[in-house]
Amino acid sequence: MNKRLSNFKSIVPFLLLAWSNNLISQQKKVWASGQARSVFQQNKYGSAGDTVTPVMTNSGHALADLTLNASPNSSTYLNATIRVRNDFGGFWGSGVTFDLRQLYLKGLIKNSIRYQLGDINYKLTPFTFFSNSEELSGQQNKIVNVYRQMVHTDWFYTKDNTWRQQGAAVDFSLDINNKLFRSIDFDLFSSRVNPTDFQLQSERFFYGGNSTIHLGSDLQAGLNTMVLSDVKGTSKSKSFFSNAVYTGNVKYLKKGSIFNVEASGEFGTSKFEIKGGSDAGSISDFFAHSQVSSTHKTTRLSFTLKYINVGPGFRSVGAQTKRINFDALSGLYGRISNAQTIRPFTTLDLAQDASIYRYSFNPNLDKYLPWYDNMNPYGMATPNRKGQEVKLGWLTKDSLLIMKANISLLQEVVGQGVSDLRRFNGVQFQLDLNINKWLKSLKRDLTISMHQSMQNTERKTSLSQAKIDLKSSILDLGISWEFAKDFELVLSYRKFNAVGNEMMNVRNTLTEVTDFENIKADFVEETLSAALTYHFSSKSQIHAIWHKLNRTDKLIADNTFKMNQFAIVYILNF
Amino acid sequence: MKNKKIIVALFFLPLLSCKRNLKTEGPNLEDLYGEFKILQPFQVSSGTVDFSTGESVHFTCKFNKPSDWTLTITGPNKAKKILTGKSNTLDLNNAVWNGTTTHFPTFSTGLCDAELFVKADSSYHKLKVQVNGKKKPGGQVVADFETGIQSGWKVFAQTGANMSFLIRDTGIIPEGGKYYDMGGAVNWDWLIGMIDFPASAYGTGGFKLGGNPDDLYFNVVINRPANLTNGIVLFQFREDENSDGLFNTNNEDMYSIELNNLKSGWQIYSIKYSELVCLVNGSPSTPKGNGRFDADKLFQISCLFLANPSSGYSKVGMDYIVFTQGKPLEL
Repeated sequence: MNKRLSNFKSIVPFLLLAWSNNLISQQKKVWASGQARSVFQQNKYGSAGDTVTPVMTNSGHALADLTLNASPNSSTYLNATIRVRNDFGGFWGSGVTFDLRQLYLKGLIKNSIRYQLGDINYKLTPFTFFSNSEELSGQQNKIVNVYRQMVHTDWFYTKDNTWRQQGAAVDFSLDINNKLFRSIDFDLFSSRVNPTDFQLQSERFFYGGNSTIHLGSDLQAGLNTMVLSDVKGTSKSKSFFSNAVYTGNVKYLKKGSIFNVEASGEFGTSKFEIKGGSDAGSISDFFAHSQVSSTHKTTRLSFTLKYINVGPGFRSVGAQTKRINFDALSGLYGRISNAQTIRPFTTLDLAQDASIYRYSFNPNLDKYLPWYDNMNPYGMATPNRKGQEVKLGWLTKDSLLIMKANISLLQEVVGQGVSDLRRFNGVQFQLDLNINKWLKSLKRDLTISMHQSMQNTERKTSLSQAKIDLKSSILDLGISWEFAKDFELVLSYRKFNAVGNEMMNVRNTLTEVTDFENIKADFVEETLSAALTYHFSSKSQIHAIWHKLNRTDKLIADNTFKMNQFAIVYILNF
Repeated sequence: MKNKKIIVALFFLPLLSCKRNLKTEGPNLEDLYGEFKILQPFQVSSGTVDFSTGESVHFTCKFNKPSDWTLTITGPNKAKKILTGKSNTLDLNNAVWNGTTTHFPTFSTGLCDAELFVKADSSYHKLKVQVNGKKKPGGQVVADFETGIQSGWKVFAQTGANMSFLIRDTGIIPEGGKYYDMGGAVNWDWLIGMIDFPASAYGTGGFKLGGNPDDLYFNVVINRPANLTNGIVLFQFREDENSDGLFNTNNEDMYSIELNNLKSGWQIYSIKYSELVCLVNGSPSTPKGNGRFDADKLFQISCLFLANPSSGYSKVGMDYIVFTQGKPLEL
């Protein structure tokens, strides 16, 4: 028996070697790549008087995304990724899952038409098809972002705000090169959002695309269409949903000797319609958005001025669906207190809890928590907003200083419940100081960062019950120091607080406002974090991370609690 | 460059045609937080209605804030239709009356009283509606008992005590003037009596059913006397799958629906044909035939009236056995 095992052990490396040789011999026609990670977390929870909720939990997993890449010829590429996951504690296969995580085929027809079939990452504009970043994702908290990156990987969220879909995409370009036009680009897309259940749920498809005319090297104009629609005849339902968005956009870029100037604009209309059934009806509206930005080439100072006007009836499911499901229960200590009430989300949950995220589209405007973002909860396509935003940026040539400031002044287009409008003021400030660029004696990276953002929502009105006054702010302070080669120490402090009241919309199936729900907030959340990181290479690291979170709620005693977390996170890309 | 400017300007032209509804979104908060007021009085869309031609009426009323409300329509024969809701408006979406009944008998023609009770201010509002024609229940009628026991039906009753398997004419029942009375005490058997409705009794084409069994409803109206709770009504549906004019218990499907725990008074019981089950001695079993719901091959419907032999006298009234398409029977 032992001899057989010994033989087996010797065969495995041989097979692996043979396989890799085979790959090499095929001149990279087939090759493997992937990513692996292992996470172990220990969480401690404490709250005065709570004798029911467990004080400590441990969890962890190891997983590998194994990708098979195949390029049978110069114009075709196949990608198939399998995820193997093992939750700690599941030995000998009991906690192991195998999933086909990704499968797509892409290629080039006659060196002119590109196509992709299967899993597709796709986006158009922020008003048509765009996966808006989740709340607080702009905060530069390096430690929290270790978790955030894992969530993004798991849910296929990308830095350029694409949605992961299953369908087909085609793009091609026509070169014209006459006095007026240089070329026209076409980009077409379709994906299946819902399969039918043969009863009351019809097949639902997204389809649309973009065509852009290039008028010289500095000017381009485009038309965008995105339609989400049920397919009649695929179910017994007598109700059919559709949401069509049509937009036009223009972009002008002028590169001068002193300044670079870019001006862009987008405008469009939408129609949200339910045909048949008791909820039948339609909503339509329009939006306009323009932006001018300029960068001074020598000082690298930049300035942006933005104007936006989005009607209260503007609906675009592909641009307004949120990543986070605020109706979800947190996967970690979802219920607390002796009454086992639902634990409110913390800023740490937003960054690290994959179970509260989703990638399916919701035709109804999703729930949101106004203290995290009340100005633009649905991104730039947030309905019933108008106003302006000013951005200033400064990136010094030697990267000593990165500074960004952002001031937003928005208000509603129409009132809700009263004719008086909500006004939204927001300020963001970010500063990253690379000390080692200043003190040349420091050979390794030492960065100090500060990020603060504040939002105020106010509605002044004569009716006392309709007054709204909500303030929230977040402060992040951090220091990152490479104290030895490939070893990095990161310390950070985060404070989030919210106080005031808001009246949240209650909407019907047609997304019309039918009622208001009063909510109040008065809480402070402080998180102290430390991380020790060893970089094996630019592609793989191991982190030891510690968080200490205190939440103090002045309105609901059960929502005052402490959570400590220690984690080992190992990430490997190959 | 001039041409480029024209093209860019053309892009923005559609903006000029955009107009926006600047009406405030949502319910008026001043109304919502102010004193309760009735903004529009209780009204009916038409003072007369003929339900026999498919007409309906709807009631309207508007409050300044949502309130619970109950709308009771009472006919000259004491028939009642009750609509309830919580909203700030009564309209076509929540206050339509198409001639159906909540408490039997069904509405007769004549002047009906409509009374709206608004909980928020405990106020009552009344008006009258003249009904000129009764609602005609649709569907494929199996039995309404108005013209007696039809030829081809087979009635069997045990020789128990106080047996009453017969048609009664009281004039006040859910549909028409007559119903079938099933009653008696049989202390040696669960079966008190039964009645078979063979497809052959309905001429060529039998019950004339077909289509999707998910859209086909079997309906019956049953009255349980308030003091007798032991009655069970079992319907059996035999299918002649091979169309040989016979039902073979060994290789053809028989589905059933057992109605026990009957509610007091006249009630409509409805079930989708596709939700019938195969029962053997009251327990779910596997159909003996093809297992499909072939309503077009329905050979015979049997109605068995059962009671526990030790439970004593039992009795129910039965009326208007009918198949409907698309939705359950409304009376």
